[in-house]
Amino acid sequence: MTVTAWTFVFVGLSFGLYLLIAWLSRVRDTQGFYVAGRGVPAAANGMATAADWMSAASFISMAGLISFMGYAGGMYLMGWTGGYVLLALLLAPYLRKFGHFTVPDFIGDRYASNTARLVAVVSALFVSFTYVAGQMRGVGVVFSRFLEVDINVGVAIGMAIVFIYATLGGMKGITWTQVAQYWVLITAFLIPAIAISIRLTGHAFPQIGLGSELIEGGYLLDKLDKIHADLGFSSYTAAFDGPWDMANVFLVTLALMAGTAGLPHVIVRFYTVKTVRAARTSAFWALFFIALLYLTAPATGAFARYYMIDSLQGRTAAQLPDWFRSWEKTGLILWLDDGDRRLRYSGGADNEIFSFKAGRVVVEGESMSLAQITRSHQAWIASGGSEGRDWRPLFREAGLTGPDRDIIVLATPEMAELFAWIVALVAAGGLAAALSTASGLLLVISSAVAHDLYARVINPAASEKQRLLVGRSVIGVAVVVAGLFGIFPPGFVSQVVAFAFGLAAASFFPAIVLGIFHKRVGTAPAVAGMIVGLAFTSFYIVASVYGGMAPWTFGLFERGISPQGIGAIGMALNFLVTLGLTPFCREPSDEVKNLVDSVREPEG
Amino acid sequence: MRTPSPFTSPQVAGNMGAFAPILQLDQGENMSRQLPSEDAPGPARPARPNPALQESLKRYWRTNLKIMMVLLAVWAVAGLGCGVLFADALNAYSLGGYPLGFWFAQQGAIVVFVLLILVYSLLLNRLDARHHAEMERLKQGGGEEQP
Repeated sequence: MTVTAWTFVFVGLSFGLYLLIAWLSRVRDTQGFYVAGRGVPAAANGMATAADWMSAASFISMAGLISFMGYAGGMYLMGWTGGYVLLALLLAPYLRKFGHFTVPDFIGDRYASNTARLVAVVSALFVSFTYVAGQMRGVGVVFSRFLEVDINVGVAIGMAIVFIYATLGGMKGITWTQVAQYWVLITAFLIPAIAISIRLTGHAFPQIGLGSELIEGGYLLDKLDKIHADLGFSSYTAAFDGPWDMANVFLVTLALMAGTAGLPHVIVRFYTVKTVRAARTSAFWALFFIALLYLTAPATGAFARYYMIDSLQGRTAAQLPDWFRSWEKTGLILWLDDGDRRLRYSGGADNEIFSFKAGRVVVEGESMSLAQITRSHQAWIASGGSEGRDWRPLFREAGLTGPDRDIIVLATPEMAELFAWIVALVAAGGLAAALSTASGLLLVISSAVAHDLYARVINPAASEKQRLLVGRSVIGVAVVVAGLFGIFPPGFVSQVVAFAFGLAAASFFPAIVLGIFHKRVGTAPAVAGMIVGLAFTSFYIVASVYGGMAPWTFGLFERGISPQGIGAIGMALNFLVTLGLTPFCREPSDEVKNLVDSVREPEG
Repeated sequence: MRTPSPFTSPQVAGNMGAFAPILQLDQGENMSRQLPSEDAPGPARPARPNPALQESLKRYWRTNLKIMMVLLAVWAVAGLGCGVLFADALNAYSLGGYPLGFWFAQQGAIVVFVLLILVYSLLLNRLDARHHAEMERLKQGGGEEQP
């Protein structure tokens, strides 16, 4: 059977399973719709949290990022797992004890203010929409590459599936579907990694394989370091050798940690378990299941790096492997030769490997497609420079050197020439990762609008039936909006993910932590802190990503701070403002103090 | 099962009126000391005027904070310390084919994080059980003393 046929089988089977689960777990009340009736066992909730958390970015992009960044890729690994320690120790058990439906609920009640609730609702909506757009796009990419359907048709199919199980079962349907999706995605991630590890190093555990000797001799990481040095890339294992210095790695790691702990779709999962005990146990299971993938991703990244360079370097067109040919069509990897007919992939000016993601580019007023660019470059080589043009300098200036990092995970099984069914399994895994995250986010969007805005502010007298109807309708609308984002991707999607973490770190995280651990903090300081944190972080990201502002060094650091790490500074500002204002502002009412006491006590 | 949050409803807040004097006293203490609430005694819990219960609650919270601080220190040292700040220095040593700093950043820190949450949930769940037993005992004892 071909890869496409296998892919249809796996994707069809997994989608059928998701729909079946949705039908079995349909709900009738808001309790079931928002928090799955609080009846989810800890281990299952951990699995669902893991699937919810691991998005298309974790599954498809992260190993690729590590593959190109080497040591510095560790900031994503540590940031996205270390955040769970903060979550488990500082937030999850207390929020479960608080026992409402959403994050804005806690902020609104703890600070006894609808302004605070509103700030939280707006942040939750922004963070969730940013995130969900990327997921829908991921669905489209997988469909278009593996099933050879149009990206837009792929997005529409994904939308339809999520629509059915999210509106039918709410949080309950989503949770049990996510448990199934976890198994699909982790199997799809581990099988190729194990197969490649055995092939390269003889070890079945990729985590051991990564630190072992290759079958052909020499430690894998030593060899990668040597290849990188020879080709002019920064070292794979040495810290702070490339563009990332210590201050930036530190701040990005910290911002991702605090952002993870503050992301509403992760926090809300801990409302679904039965007890405070279960919330703690479930946080452990969540990180355990996440770690299975996160400990494997660095191995996949390094194996792929080794394979890729090994199978491309110095080859002629006739010698190029099949995977290169099939991915070349997507433009995600592109060879622009310098005329010697041998491929050279390097970190210097003689590099010949590029990527081209957009459908067309406008060059000197002329709109060019990938095919036109390739033709023009061929003409330039054939004519010895008199016709066409040399496209390499243009691509280099645009920062499009090297293959697109997203192909690493998807192409690795092909690189290692694994069976067709393994390649197809990876496609189903990518879809599971994207859909599970999308559905979790859609529920947050729905609850923010239907519960926090409609039921708590606009119409507090709404009946149970009305609330459920509004919840379902909002999910429906949100699915369509998310799908439109996937079909017409705003160019900023990949950059705004940094935004999501920065904002969560600078707004929610300090507000919730202080809300639990510092009883004296009242409404005004908390709202001021959130607004300062949000404003500073958004300003910095918008100005440096879109406004061309040079990154600030704050007079402390050697290099400017990356917008990805600015959330850490926004968070520090939030803490400073809140704590600084607290002694001068009114302390919270007795009612609020009692709320804090009750949250701190596991009993009752 | 849904845990109700009684403190947000006005009726329950009204019921607390009887204990208002105790509440006032504790707040005064709180303000004059100007301590962050981690160290400050919580205000008297109007629903449980029994001082022994208060003591027990305070002890529970302090133990919880102690466990949390220790674990967070390990978190910071393993992740931000070994994984970032000391990574360069640790890279001089190796673990099999791994340079040590690189290993911490891509493997070790994650393993430590998983273990930290496991230890936390085991310790706290045990503490909860002890706290529960103590509270039950005190509640019964407290009941007998009442006229």
